[in-house]
Amino acid sequence: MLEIFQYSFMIRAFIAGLVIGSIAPLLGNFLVMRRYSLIADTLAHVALAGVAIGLLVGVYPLIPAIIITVITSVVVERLRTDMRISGETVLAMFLPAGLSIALVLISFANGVNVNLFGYLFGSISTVTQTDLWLILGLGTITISVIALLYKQLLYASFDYESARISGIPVRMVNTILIILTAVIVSLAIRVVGVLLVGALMVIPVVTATRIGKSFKHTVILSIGFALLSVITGLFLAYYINLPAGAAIVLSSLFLFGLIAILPKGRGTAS
Amino acid sequence: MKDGALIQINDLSFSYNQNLALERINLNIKRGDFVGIIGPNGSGKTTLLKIMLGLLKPQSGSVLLFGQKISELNEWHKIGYVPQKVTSLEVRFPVTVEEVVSMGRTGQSRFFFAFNRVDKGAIDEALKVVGMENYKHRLITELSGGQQQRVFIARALASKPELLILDEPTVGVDLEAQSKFYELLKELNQTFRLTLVLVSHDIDVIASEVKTLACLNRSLVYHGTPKEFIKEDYLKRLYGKDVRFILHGH
Repeated sequence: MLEIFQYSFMIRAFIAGLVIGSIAPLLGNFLVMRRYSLIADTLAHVALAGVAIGLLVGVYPLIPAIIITVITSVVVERLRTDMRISGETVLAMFLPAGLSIALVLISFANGVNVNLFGYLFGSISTVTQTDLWLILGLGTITISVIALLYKQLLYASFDYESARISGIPVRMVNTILIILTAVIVSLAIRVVGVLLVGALMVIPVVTATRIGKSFKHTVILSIGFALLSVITGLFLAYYINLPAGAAIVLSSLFLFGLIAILPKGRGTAS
Repeated sequence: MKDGALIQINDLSFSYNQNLALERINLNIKRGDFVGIIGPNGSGKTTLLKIMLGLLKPQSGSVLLFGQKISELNEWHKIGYVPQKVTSLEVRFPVTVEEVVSMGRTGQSRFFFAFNRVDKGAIDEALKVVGMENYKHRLITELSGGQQQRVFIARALASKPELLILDEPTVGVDLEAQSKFYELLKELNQTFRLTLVLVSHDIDVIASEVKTLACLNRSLVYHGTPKEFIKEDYLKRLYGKDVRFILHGH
């Protein structure tokens, strides 16, 4: 057996990385298609505020992170649809808001900064058994919901108005997508950190759109690219001592570069 | 349903804030008709279309689709909608023609990935009607504007509608493809007995293609045959100036 798999912390890292690496791009496909890629970054910064609350009051940080991120995701969606503030603007409002709240909360408590650093950049090697159960449990729910609503999500992402006219409850479908994104973003910050979550959701998808032959094919490819990036990143982290989150993101960027210079690259998502 | 009217619009008015967009519209669209709704920019065409599709709620008056109030209608599969432009095409996300057309079955189909045999049959049939069956596995973004428009018609047909509503469907489509497009619409109307409602600013073209014209300029200025419309010089009244009128293909 490879040395890397002799340590239980690395096995936990691989399981967490592979589960998140499968689900993040799965959701990312629908987000990139509707030009909503930045939602992941925004929610990640909001999740940081939740983590700060957890660290401040001394509870398991991912729980307040998930709760706050889910609530914010629903508020973002309502602002976008009811108040007709553009998606881009709403995201530009909430990203600094999340970060500011996190910073203010942290200023109340000395000594938690070191812990927070792990959430900013990810610390996959410190994934606990509790983290793993949460990732596996919520990951299974997320995949099941996407499987259930796949067709509705595709139609609502591709052509919102026509989907609505055809009788699909597009508002509910959108809200479910954004809540799932909130949950997965909160979990993914254990793996790649707040600053890199968006990359894991978006880069493998954009890479896949270069060579995808259908939507379904693109989804499968994007998951493949994300998993490859997670595995490469973790090996690089272990053997040449790189920060795991950054190594995963850079691996996915490398894959994008590789596919982009292929001669037969079709148009890419912008 | 009164006199087989699929759409009954009674005394409908609509305002955006304080600006009146539609004023006391009365319009019945009969089963089997091919209606062109025309009018200058800002005449309320799109507003009327959105009200007919349940996207906007009228402030006064009523709209009945298939004899039912829009808010109570749950057979939306009876209405096929062809949009003017699908913005996600600009993103160039890989989606095949088959995947786009299958969206037309989504409203009726069950959850989970797979479509059943009935769905697949309807998808193939719709592609055949618009002559795009050989493009099933091609990416929608690789097709020309005219071909994309046919795919969106196929998507609308896949739900087996009785009424097809098209919003400026030939914008960005070249002239040759446009004439083929109108041939297809005529066939859908005559052979497949579909009721068609087409919104367009392209007055001279659609006047020669449709059975009935409805001209809007906030209120309903004209409702009748295109022939009568030309004879009575409504166009001049509608636009307030001389507009050259050419009937294509006649």
